[in-house]
Amino acid sequence: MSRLTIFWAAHLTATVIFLAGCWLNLSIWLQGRIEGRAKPSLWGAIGASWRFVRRVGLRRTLRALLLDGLLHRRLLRQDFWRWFAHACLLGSFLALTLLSTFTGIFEEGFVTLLNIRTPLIEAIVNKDTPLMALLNETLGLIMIAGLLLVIARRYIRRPAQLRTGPPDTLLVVLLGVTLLSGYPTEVLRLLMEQAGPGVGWYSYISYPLSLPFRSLNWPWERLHYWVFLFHSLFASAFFAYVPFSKFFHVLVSPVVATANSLAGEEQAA
Amino acid sequence: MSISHLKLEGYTARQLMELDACTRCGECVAWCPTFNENRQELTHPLGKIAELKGWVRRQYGLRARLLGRRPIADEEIAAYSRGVYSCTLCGRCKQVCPVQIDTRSLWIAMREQLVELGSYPPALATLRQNVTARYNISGEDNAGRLGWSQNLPQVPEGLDCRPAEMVYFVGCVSALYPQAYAIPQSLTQILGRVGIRFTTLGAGEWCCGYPLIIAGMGAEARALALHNVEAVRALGARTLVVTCPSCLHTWRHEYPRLVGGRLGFEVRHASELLADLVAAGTLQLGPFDKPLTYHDPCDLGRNSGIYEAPRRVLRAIPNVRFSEMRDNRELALCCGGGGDVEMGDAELTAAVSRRRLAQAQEAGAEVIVSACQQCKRTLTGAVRREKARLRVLDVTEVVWQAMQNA
Repeated sequence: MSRLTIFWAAHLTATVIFLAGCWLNLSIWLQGRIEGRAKPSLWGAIGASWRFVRRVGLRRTLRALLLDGLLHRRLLRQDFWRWFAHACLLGSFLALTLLSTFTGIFEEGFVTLLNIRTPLIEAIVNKDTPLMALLNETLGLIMIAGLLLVIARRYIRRPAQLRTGPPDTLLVVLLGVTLLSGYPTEVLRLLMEQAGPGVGWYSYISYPLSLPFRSLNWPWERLHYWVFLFHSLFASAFFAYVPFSKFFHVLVSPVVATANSLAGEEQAA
Repeated sequence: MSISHLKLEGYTARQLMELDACTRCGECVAWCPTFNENRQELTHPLGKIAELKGWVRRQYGLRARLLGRRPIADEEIAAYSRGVYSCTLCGRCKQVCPVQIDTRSLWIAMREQLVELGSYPPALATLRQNVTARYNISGEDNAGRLGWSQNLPQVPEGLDCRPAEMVYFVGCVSALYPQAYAIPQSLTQILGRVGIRFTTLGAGEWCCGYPLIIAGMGAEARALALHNVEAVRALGARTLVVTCPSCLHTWRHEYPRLVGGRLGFEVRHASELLADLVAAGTLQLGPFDKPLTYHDPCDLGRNSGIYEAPRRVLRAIPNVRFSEMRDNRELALCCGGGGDVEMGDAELTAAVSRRRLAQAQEAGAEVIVSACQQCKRTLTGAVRREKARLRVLDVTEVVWQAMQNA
């Protein structure tokens, strides 16, 4: 079976599980009260959120979302290196997710289904174009840097305030395996396609790593098939697990930080 | 016995989201004043959030939906209750949380749930009985609320519940605990000296309800709020002044919710009033010769946002030697006297207050000034136990002394 068929089947399944998990969490939150009413409906919650945004103003909401929800300015004031590690991980994770989503949509939607090929679409779908190769390599590298800082803090420096338990270690392992398996996949792809230096050097980590193996007469296509499946299935499983894990805070904490920052401003006023 | 169905209606949806928003970074652990003393994992914010989140998962998570809820054992609830009631509600965790979790409200919601489950320190049952039956925290006859005024050189005219533009809400501790008498005595003499006419509710003053609200017994506070607000309105007051930051917080932030609308008069802390008088040049202050530092009460600073008014008052004293403690303003260390902790664990309160005392000594102060009768009481206890060469005074006392030196 084609590796992409397996990938899409797994990824769609993971997406369904991810959405079901989000729904489960949302249903737990809706056990609480909103505007004094217990167990509100989803529409009641959406209505209350909209009223809140209207009361404080859309501009202020977007400003708080940017500064408190996404850039975490309070963390920046507290500790630059913690903020830097978090920004590396979160920023590149979100960027890579968006990049992969766009690539998937363009490849499967425009190219395969609709057979539309424009220079822009070709540039996005083709992993060897300078822009895509550089973005993928650099974002992965930034994420690894962030993860290494997290590991150094949590497992080497171990400040007394940290409580490292199974959820924390599991998250580090999941992120680490997903990230680290991405580079062998790219190395094997370059070997499989026998990419020349003109194209390959844009993948400035994977291409040099591939060079020592170029003279070997190994079944690169088959190896790439299995390593790609491992990487993509692992990433899909990780994605499905997000709503059930500590990593769910990536989605929730920006909302909470934004809402509480605005509520604090309101109270102060 | 165990809890088979944990209800979540007591929490807001946002609070339940906050359980998922916690990143387990542990910043709150480093700043928790009571955890730093008792080292119990269920005392610090991360521990409490993780515990409650675990319960919610057991009762509402995927496995619970598929295989049924898993019960929560009594021993677990008891241990969690000890942690939740070991919190002074100082709110420092909220200040340092990178995702700005509104921790203080969350702890109060947790306490409300524990009260529903019947798991709370026994002393709080006595507190509830005192406040609801005797209308004050001490359980004494409420008619004695003006006892502090008896040894004033001159009892101000109209002190006992007369129509006036300003009502002074004395608060239970200042009214009924002799260690704090000097606070209302100082304020009333200051007001008398500058010619502000005011009154009190006298025996008609009921506890503001704050101790019940923070104990998780907030449902009982509404009757108190309705009574107090009606009593102030009946006197035609435009301003209510308080010396107790907890009363201030309750009047400003809880009462409008409890009575269902605006109060119809302004609520001010004495330090704000004094700062205005200083700015207007109405207060004639003389010197105060001892070096002093200022301790931010949690309910005045972090929980009501008033940091500068008391400092402006103190800095207005001629040639004052004022220094800040290491932890000040938003990150000020709690005195240990908040959150009803002392009723259940007096040693924990003493340990926190000892640490604060050390910070004052480190700052080279001979006088710790606060703007809260509970902080004064707690820190004075620490000074006595530690035999420290420090005095603890309220900002009103310092001002009155400085006025007498003018």
